[in-house]
Amino acid sequence: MSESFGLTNQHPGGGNTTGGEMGALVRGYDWARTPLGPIAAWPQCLKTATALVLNSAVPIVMLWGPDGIMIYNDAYSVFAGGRHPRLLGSKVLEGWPEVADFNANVMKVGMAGGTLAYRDQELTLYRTGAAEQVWMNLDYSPVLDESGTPAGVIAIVIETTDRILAERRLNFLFALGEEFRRITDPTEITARATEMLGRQLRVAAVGYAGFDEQETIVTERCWHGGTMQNDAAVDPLNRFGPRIAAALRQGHSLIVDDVESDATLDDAERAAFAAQGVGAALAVPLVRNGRLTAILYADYPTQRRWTRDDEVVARDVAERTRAAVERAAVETAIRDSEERFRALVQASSDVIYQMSADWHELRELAGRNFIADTTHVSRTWLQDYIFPEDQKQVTDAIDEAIRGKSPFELEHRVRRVDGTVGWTLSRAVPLLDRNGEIAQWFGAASDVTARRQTQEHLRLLVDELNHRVKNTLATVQSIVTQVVRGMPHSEDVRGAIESRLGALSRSHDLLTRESWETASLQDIADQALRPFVDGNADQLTITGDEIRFRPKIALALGMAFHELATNAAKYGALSTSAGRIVITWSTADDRLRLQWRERGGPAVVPPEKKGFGSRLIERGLAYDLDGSVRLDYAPAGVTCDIEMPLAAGAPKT
Amino acid sequence: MNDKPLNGRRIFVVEDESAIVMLLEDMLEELGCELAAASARPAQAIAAIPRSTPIDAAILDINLDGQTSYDVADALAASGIPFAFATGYGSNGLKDGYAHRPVLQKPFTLVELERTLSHLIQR
Repeated sequence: MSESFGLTNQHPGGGNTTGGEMGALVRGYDWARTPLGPIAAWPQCLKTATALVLNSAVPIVMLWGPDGIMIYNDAYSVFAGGRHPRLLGSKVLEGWPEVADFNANVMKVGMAGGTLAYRDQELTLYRTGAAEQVWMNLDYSPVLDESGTPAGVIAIVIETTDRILAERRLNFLFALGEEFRRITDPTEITARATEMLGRQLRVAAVGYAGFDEQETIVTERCWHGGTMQNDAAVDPLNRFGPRIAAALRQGHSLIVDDVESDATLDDAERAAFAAQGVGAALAVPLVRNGRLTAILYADYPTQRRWTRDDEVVARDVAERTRAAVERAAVETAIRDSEERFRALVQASSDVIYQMSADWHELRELAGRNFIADTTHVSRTWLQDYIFPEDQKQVTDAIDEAIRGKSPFELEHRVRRVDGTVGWTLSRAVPLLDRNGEIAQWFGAASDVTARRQTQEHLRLLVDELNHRVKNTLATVQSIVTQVVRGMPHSEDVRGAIESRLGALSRSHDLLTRESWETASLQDIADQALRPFVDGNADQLTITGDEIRFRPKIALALGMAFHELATNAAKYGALSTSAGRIVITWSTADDRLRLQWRERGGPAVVPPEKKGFGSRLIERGLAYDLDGSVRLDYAPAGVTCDIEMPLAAGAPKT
Repeated sequence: MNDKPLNGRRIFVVEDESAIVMLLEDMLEELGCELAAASARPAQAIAAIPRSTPIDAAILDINLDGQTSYDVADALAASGIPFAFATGYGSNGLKDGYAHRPVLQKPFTLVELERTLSHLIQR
């Protein structure tokens, strides 16, 4: 009598599919074993109600009779999960033992003719064996029999778990975002994140670890069901063995619902889980550019079915945590840097200033009582601090620094607090923005007035000394001239004296230019010989390494070159325009070897008697240089070889 | 040696060291020149310029016992008299505005003095 409640053959072509799978199950069920009895004996109201339930697309279960015998449709069978199809024909209190109290009340109210409605009712069900939080909209209404007496209860059951979870996830993430905005300390961020996720997922423990390039843990917090720990004992990467570590490194999440039954785990791994009291585990790694940067994990002591939602939330929290930690680290670094900068500014005796990118605006300047302070943005700083005649020099240096995005550095005059002239060594570096453009300039300027004054004083002293020395040389020249006047060869004598005084004076000039520190060998030779080849520079070639000598050696070499040149001008290579002098030198083993070579001059005849020049070169120079000098009047041209230890003449460092 | 172009030229000398004045005097004589006047102090030198005319050229020591001879240089320039500085400062010892003037480095030789004076008088 399957057609007796109108489920079959009523729609042409409907066949046995009418009422869906549940229609077939209901028709084939042995109802005789139940208080309802065989279908044929069902009252019309039950048949009608059953047809209504089976043909509805909305999940509906009917609880018939005082025991609440369950008859439900396809949509409800999905909701029933693992309980289906055992639920069909069973008593509601037995079919859903975990919510028996709730259903007892439903039956009581419904069978009394009342209705019940619940919105987003939270229930814990064990549809698949494991505990599950579910939310449902529940509507209960009585089904009346022919006499108008409630014979059963119809329940429309719409599960809202997905919507509720989505809402809760959104709320949770929103709250997490609020927390991250509030917290600035990286450790506190991870502490809050793990705690909030732990409470959200209702797990036993949640931990977060950030890794650096060497895979060293840099941030780690672990929340254990209400207590926060910095749990160095837990290594989130390696805690379950190398195979799981390798998978995490590659970005694969670890999802274990039940350690004991999980076929993907080997015995060693299972033992590792057990040793840590973990029955179910979820771990999401964050991998960036192929490198593991963080792991977020959640532990549960017994089995638990992790949902797709759990993993999504965990991954989202992990990513937000990492971002917040990184942001906080950057902010902390900036704050520390600013504090250090402030401390530096306070501690520094330098003038500190900030300029706009184009230097038109001076934003701030702490003048240290050297120059005036500027506390408000100033566009007239150039006029305020720099004297008109120096402004171009300053702006030129600024333009160059801006063009090259390179540090500005200039020693220049400034108007001091009291209006007088001061000197400053000013340096500024450009701060570049994200796009590499100059955002502003930070500068420091030190007061070098005293040094400049000392330098100026020293320069005047050296000038005065030079003047005295030169006047003295000229006076000697005068005296000699007076003394030899009228004597035989007086003109030769005077010429010889004049020439040597001149050489001495020129060496003096060279050293004065170098502040009496050192002079280069090239310059010494050039200074001594240039006057002899005036107008025919080709006659002279000077080549050798750059080497510098102290004043004493420089003067001795200068005089020696002068004597050689004097001889060359009188008898040697410089006495004809075809003559050449080549001076070369090299350094090796801390010794200088210098060669003077004349050629192209008249045939050389050795002097009968060695004169002043020869003596000065062969004996005086060797003595002064602590070296050896060999002078050879070779017929083809005079040669002179000088060898000396470099230590004798090298500048003291 | 009196066939030289400097023959008979009157040279004005400003120099505070007597020995150097004597040297210049001897050298000028050798070149066939005549010492028009010698002064050791700037004010004295400026006053001496009109009295010593005609002057063909002048040699000025820059440092006159703590004073400089730039005022004298200006007075000479105003009178159109060519001059050279004699100095021990070196070529970079000249004040701005005078750097283009000829310089005779002390101590100078007879040849150098001759060259400098010839240069001044030719102009």
